[in-house]
Amino acid sequence: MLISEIHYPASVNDALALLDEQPETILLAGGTEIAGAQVSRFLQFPQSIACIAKIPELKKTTRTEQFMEFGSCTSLTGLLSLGPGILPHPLAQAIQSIGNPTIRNIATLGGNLASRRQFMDLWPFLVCMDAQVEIRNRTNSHWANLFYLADSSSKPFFPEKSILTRVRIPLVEYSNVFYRKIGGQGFPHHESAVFVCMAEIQQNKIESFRLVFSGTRVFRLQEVELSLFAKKITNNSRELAFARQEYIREFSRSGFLKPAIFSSLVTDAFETLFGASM
Amino acid sequence: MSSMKPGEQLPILTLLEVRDMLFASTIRSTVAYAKEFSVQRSQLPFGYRMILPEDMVKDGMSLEFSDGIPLFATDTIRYRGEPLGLIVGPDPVLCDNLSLNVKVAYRESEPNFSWTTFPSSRIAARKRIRIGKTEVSTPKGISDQQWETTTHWTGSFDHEYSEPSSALAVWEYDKLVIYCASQWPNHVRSSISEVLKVPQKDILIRPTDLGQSIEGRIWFPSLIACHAACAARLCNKPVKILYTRGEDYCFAPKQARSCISISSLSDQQGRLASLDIRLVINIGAYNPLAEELLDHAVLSLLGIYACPVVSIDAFAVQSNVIPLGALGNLGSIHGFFALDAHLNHLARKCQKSPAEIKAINMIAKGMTVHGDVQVSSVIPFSKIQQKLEIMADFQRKHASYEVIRKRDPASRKGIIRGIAGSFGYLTGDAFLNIPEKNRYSVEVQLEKDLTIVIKTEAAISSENARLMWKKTVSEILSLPERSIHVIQESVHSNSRCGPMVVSRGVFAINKLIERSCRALQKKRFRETLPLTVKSQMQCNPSIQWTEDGLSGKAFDAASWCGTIIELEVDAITGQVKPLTIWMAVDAGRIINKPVAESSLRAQAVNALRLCLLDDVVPETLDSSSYLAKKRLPFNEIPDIVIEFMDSDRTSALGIGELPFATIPSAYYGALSQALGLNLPSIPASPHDVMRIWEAT
Amino acid sequence: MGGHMTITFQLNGITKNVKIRSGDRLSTILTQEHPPIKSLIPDCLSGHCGKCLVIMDKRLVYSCLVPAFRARDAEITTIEGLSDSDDIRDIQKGFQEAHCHPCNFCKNAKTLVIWDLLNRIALPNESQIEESLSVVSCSCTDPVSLKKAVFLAADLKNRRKYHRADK
Repeated sequence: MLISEIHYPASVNDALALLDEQPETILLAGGTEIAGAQVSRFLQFPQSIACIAKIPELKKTTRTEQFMEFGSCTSLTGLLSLGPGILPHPLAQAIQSIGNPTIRNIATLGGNLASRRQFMDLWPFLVCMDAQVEIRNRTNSHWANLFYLADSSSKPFFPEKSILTRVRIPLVEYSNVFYRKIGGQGFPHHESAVFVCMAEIQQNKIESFRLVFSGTRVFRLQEVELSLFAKKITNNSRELAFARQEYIREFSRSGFLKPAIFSSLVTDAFETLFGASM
Repeated sequence: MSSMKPGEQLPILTLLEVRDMLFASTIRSTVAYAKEFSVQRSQLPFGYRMILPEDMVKDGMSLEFSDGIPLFATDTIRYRGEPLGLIVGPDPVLCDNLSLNVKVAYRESEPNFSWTTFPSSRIAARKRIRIGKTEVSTPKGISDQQWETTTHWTGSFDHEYSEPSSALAVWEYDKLVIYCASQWPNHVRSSISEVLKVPQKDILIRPTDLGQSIEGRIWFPSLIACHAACAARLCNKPVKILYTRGEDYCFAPKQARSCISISSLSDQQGRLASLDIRLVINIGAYNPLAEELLDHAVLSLLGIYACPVVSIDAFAVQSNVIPLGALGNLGSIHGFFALDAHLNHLARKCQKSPAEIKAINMIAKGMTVHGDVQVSSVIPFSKIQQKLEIMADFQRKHASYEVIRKRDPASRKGIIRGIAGSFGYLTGDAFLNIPEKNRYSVEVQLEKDLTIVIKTEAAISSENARLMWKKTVSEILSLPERSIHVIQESVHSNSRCGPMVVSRGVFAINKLIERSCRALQKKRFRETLPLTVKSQMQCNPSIQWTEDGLSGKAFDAASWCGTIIELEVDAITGQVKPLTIWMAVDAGRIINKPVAESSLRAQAVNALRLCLLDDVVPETLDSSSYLAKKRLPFNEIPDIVIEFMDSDRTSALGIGELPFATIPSAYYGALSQALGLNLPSIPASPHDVMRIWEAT
Repeated sequence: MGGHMTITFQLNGITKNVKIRSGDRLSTILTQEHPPIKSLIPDCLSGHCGKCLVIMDKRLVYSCLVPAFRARDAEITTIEGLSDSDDIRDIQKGFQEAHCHPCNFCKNAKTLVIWDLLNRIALPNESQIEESLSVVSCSCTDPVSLKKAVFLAADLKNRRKYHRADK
């Protein structure tokens, strides 16, 4: 029975100093992932835990005309409480599909994005929305696209001795969104995955296109996304058909979940977003 | 020596504490089968103690109780997780930790997980029924090619009881007091008496809140109570055993799995001429109710369809997994499901609707069936069928979904729908093969202040049962329900009350209460208060097993139910979502309609869980399978529409298990229609659906 | 066993200084308190049964999923802290009038869930009620009567709040 050392850093700098001294320290905000994975009466934690739930800097919310910024310890309920019309609709829907209201009361945005075990439900959404994350370590801080938190083998990645402090979400309302969750409700497991496809279409032209499928790994083809930029949606569009086939082919090579499921998802997504042209 | 006062609630064992109480955690085997093993005693912190079978033997205790159920493994390990001993101490967390780290050396053998083929040494119970001519001569007009065979499986299932398995044993002066939640408190007492070699009069069973039991708390609580009692005796202090939910999931009994092969011979119209059935139920390492399970499964296979020649070979087979037993309806669920699925298959072959095939084969009043069973009452099949078809707009929907499916059978896009129905029944004829298992008693006291106190040793598992009994008293004695109290007594007398299984127990108690109240009514204005009337009865089944099948009168006291389920399947994920459940019920006199409806709905949700959620694989249960366990959240429960049919019958009949008799078959039929193929088993998870689709 | 630390939190308005171990769940601590919180039943230990629900910092949480150390300086409220309130009485009346009888295992949890819901939303619609009730997984009551109980409780609360006559 391991007894852990619990720390309560009062600020981000304190937390970073602790991480520097004890790199094995785990940061705990809501704790749903770590506690939800254990069934014994006594929770087993790593040797050192830093409880960051109450650090004020990590709970701030700011808004400009172009984006919203949330502290990483903002609870999912806190995000939803902003109300309709403020949070982009697909994001609000995605948050509501996570757990239940009680889980969302303690689960945090940062916890959802920075899981080392697998990509959680909000991750593909925010990647599609080109969200950015602020990663701070002792010496510097930088903003990066959320996709940065996936390594070269498409698995979750987080830099050592660093903290995810803020998340910046562009306030772009995507009119065409296709979203499906695989693996049922309940705590994400190795067969859970989320498929998100978003397209901004203006005057029958694709202004932007994103498709991300993530679970224990992530699947995304940025070249295909770029290839669809400014393409017109016409009947029997070759570009769309090619893009779809490319996705299906590359996915079967990736070895990530069953190709049949992905194939159906992609087909459904394209039909939903681009209609009869498929 | 009543444990409770009127108005008081039964305690919840998880919260119960007594002074100087110790906790016990179970040392468990980590292998499924070993012919030899030894547990290493290790140094434990001060205040902690390891209890092994040899300690019990030294103290003069027995290591087995009724029906040969072993308290702990002694020479052979029969399943992974089998109890080997206990660690007792003041901190439950440390006890858990210590029990996990106990070193055990095994001489491991290859476990027997297979159960559809088996040597006779693994047969725990068997039943052979031969009705009609045993030489299967092909009737006129039917060729051998018209034999149809289907094989169906029901998976194992875990019901999440209101509380994990637990017991508290404490010596109060000269009596050993056991707190536990059991459907059969008398069994707890007799088991402890056998193990501790203590007279039953020195053992007091104080009931705690049972919550929802669904037949899974008949004998297993006795095992836990024996563990606690042994530990309390050896440590000379109160001992509580409280499984964690994860532990309960992995090591408490689950529903038995079954494999049923049905071969039938029928004419062109689908009229059954001969049935040949092989039923195998996997009961895990052991199950003291194996015979009862088999009886009920076979009875449900004989069912309500007339067939002149029936041959059934039924086996309860042991395997090296946790004990597997009954859940809803004591084993009947297996037979109801398989028979209905087979008839659905026949309907497809004959190009008729399942309802037509059932109507053709349905038994009717005046018939003699299943050997020598007189059908002395009307079977309300067509009445219920008609009602349901109107409620659910069945014909139109069924035809539409058939057309859509047939138009493009290979297409699996978007959402696909299916709708199907089933018809079933519930009788009070629970076969329990020892007379004392069928005995109930009740004491009704009319106090001076005109309050009524009903006392019974029978386990009360739901508030709905209490409400029904109160209503019965209120109607007979014209007293307000708030002045009527129901108390579950501690087991201390020689009344030997049987288990509360199926709805049978609830309605047996209701009959006794009626009888007692009528007796009170006669005395009420002639004798001074308080007045007490005691009643007892033995519920003997109205039908008996004979060499040629069954004999007696059946279905007089049966309640009937038709169910239609409409569902949709997500073609991408295989996720099944039930949309609506319609139920039409003929259950005689309904004592309390809102309570009856509420009870049926709650049980319908439980029956639906059986179909929707993942098959529990007893061979590989562990904490990760507990965490991955699917649940049916409140916001995914479909609409459940219930209608009670008008009935001429004046007696009140059990209804609680009717959903288990009909929902699995209706669900299966609807899913089969949606997928366009017959599923081999329930439950059918999204995985199973996708796998079956991909295979075709 | 060593490794204890002391944390301070508010429990039903009373300041508590409690010795805990790093791996203790909040549900364990609350049930071992003096006097113990009897309304709370640590059961599933995995955040779904709902029997351990408490209000922590004004939000409904599964106390089994909250490590005890996380509760430092938190404000925790259980049913015991609300039991004298009219809101709870409205909910109990709602149960009665709807012929809804939650079992002793989940009654407190369901009451707390409904209290929390009606605190946030005065007139919840059916899907809001279903979503709220999904946090307690006990199947003792039928869904229809439970939803009816919530509607009735909401109505009673609003009538009382706005001094409207009973129906």
